[in-house]
Amino acid sequence: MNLFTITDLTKEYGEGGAKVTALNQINLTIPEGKFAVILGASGSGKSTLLNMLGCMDKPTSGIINFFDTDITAFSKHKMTRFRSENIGFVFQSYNLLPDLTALENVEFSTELAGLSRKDAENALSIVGLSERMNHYPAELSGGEQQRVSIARAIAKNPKVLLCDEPTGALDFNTGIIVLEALKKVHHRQKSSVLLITHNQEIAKIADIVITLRNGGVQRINENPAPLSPSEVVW
Amino acid sequence: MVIILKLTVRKMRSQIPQLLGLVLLLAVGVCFFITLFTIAWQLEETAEQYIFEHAYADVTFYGQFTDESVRLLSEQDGVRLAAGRNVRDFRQGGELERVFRVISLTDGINIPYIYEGRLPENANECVILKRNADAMNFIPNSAKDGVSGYGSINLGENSLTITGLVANPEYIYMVQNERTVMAKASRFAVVYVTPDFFPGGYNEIAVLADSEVLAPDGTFRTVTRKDQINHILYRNDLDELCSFAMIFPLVFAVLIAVVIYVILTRTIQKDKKQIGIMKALGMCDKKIIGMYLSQFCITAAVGALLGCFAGVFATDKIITILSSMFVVPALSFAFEPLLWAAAIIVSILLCAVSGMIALVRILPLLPAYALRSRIPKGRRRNTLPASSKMNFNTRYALKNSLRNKSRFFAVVLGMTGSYALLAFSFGFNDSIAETQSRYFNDFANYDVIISFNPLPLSFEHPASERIGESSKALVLHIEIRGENYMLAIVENNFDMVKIPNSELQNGVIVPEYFAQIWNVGVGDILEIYGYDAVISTITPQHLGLTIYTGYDYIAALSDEIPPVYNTLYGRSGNMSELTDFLITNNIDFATVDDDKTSFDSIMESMEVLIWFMILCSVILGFTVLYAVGLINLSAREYEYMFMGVMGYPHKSILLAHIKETLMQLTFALPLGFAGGYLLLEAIKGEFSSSNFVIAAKIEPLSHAVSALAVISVTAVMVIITSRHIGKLDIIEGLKAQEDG
Repeated sequence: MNLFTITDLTKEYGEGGAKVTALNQINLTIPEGKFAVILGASGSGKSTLLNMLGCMDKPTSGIINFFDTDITAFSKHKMTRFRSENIGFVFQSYNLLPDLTALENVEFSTELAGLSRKDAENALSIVGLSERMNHYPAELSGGEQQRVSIARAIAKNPKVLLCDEPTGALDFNTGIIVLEALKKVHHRQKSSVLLITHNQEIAKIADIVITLRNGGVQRINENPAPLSPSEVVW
Repeated sequence: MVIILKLTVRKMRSQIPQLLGLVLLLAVGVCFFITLFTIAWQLEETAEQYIFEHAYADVTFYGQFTDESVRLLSEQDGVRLAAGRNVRDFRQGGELERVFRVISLTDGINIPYIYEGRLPENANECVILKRNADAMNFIPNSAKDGVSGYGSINLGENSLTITGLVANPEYIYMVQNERTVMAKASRFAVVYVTPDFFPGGYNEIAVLADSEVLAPDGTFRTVTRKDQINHILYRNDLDELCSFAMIFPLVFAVLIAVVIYVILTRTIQKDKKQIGIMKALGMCDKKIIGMYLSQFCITAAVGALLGCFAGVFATDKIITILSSMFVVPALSFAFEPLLWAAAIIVSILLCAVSGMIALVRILPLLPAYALRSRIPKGRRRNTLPASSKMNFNTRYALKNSLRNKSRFFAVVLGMTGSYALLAFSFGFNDSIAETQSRYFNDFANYDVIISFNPLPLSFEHPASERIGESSKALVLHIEIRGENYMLAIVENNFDMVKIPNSELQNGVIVPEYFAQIWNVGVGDILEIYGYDAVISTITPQHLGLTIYTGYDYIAALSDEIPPVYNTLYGRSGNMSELTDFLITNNIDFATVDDDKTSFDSIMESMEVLIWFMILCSVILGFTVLYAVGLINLSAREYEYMFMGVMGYPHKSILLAHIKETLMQLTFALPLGFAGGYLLLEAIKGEFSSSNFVIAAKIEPLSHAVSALAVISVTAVMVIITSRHIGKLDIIEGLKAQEDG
């Protein structure tokens, strides 16, 4: 079953002479339960694509089907509900709420999904942060903050995890820890993971690699033997 | 909800200085509103009850009456009760000149309110107004000899024992005459005696009536309750209090709304990314609105409640001070739940609406946009003339001002409002002094005004021999457009007040204020006694507003007004000899000093309100300036930090800030200057009545003090900014900016 079916997806920013086409007539299917990587250089349109898939933005034209539902036809209210019920986001810059502790940041997400504090604690333990759960983001390292961000994303057990350059702001060792956490979640929760990166080495851990270039799909590769995060080097 | 609640509380904790500023702003505004409205409402309620229970006469007839006149009047339709009485002023000469107004008591009309003691029972007893007893030190020495404990009053050959201390609705204000409307209680006293103190006849009939009553024979003048100066003053003060209660909080509300809007916009703009995160995580707009608005609404409620409680103390204090101006027994603070609820609800709405306006700019954004950095406004280049000649610092300050016009406008408005409120408050004080000066130095040219029953113009009043220069006048109370006004018919060479007497023969000379409210000009027709009188000229008058005309003009207009006079204006080289004669002969008179004393009383009583106003303006102004200073600082913080990173010295950063502030002051001070005048002009009408109008003036010193106050607070803010710039932790700051 396809998680996402993308048909003629186009996204343009600006008007007139300042118009920029970020995505140009993309057609793509992403199967359910896979660890997919969207690979591309800066400006290739990968973050824009992720925003469309996560109902964070609306396309200029085209259709995105989530299973059988056209999510591009959603109202803002439905988009919010869709994000709350189906999507877990992991951002490059963590995007934690600075006034809440690690646990509270995760609880924020579980509370919106109608889940309990226990679910938040479990998520933190999956990413190995049980000991630091009462620390504020400012008291955590970059890697720890990103793991809190992952815990926040997985705590509500979403159908899909959308990760926008989750290792982009981290050093190599911390990046590996974060990738391992993502892999662990993927295996344990059977969630589909869509990870954006410009790093070709990271793409080696994926089941599917979608390469974007200048707003279009350059190629789609299936990886029969994905590496574990500890095996990649960059 | 627990986490959202936690987040809300922590967000509030992290912006305590801004929220405290909001609380203070709202508390001051609400305190002012609650205090003045409570006083106004309580005054009206208590005074109306007092007037009703103590049967303040509906109509009073002045003239010469007998028991038969009273009986005939009583039988008229609509008359509930009529009673004759005598009113006579006794002057005590000597070093401490005092006037005692002796009034015979009337059954069931103008009933005294007894504070202590009892009413007089024979011709040798009296009761005195409590405020007179207090001012003249008629204090009970002991209760051992009962009622005689209050002392006695000597009036010529009569000695009256004071049997009690009272108040009376006809003397809520110490009205001695048309000019001395607020006599000093130590110089003018009212005592009530039994009717047998005055043998034979009456000079007044007090009436309680449900409808219009025909004047009995012998009536010289009729005054309804609503036209009595005492009642007019009471209604005027009530209107003034209500106007103050409306206008000032309205100005406060506008300032507060702007400051709140700017603070909230800053807060929400600062939280734009966090709002984006919350939206991305699936938090709906309603919850985000609830989270932010609850912060502002809680703050508003706290500020408004504090203001309400502060109002309790302020109300009691102001009532105590106002009792030197008017006396309404039982007037005190009362909890007005509607008022409190209105103040709290309006405060909350003010914050909620301001917050909502700020939020609607961000909420419609999809999370992907909300998470992005804000795109700076004004892509167009700000072309600055002569920019090449300016150094970087000046160009930076100038560009900053042009870059964010709404913030610049808010800061300028805050400074303008503070200056205008201060200038207005000080200016109000100046205006009262100016009014006094214009009347006594520029307008009044008499030493004494003597009043008596009408005499033919050909007869000389016995006092005229003792006056150096005198002028005859017939002073009448006339009705124009349903209101009571004073008309003085004078001789053609009348020079006791500064009016263009050449115009006396051509028509009526109308005070400028009346011309404004009647919307008439020179050459227009005014109906007087059913005759069309031409307005010959309009003159500025501020006190004892009177319409003047000449005997010749009136004679040409109508033959119904006889050639008589009832008033003698005089200038005398020997005032003490004249006053001795007038006192000895029991002739009613008022000196220019009496009028000045009355005006001083008005000034003293208004001073309370003025200082309350100044205090509120100062607090509000400082709070606004502090808040806008914080806004300026927080808006620039990151840039200053970055300038520090680039190696820009602290002094230069501060200089850039000072230049921007100076630019704001350059706009604000002239605007505040004009704003002060506008406020004063706007409120001037509320303080004007048929015998008093304020001459609006703000002295240069008041402007200087107001400007200095604004500049001082701004300077304090610059010092705070300097310290803040010095303390800025570059690394932490830049990191926080990224996180935010």
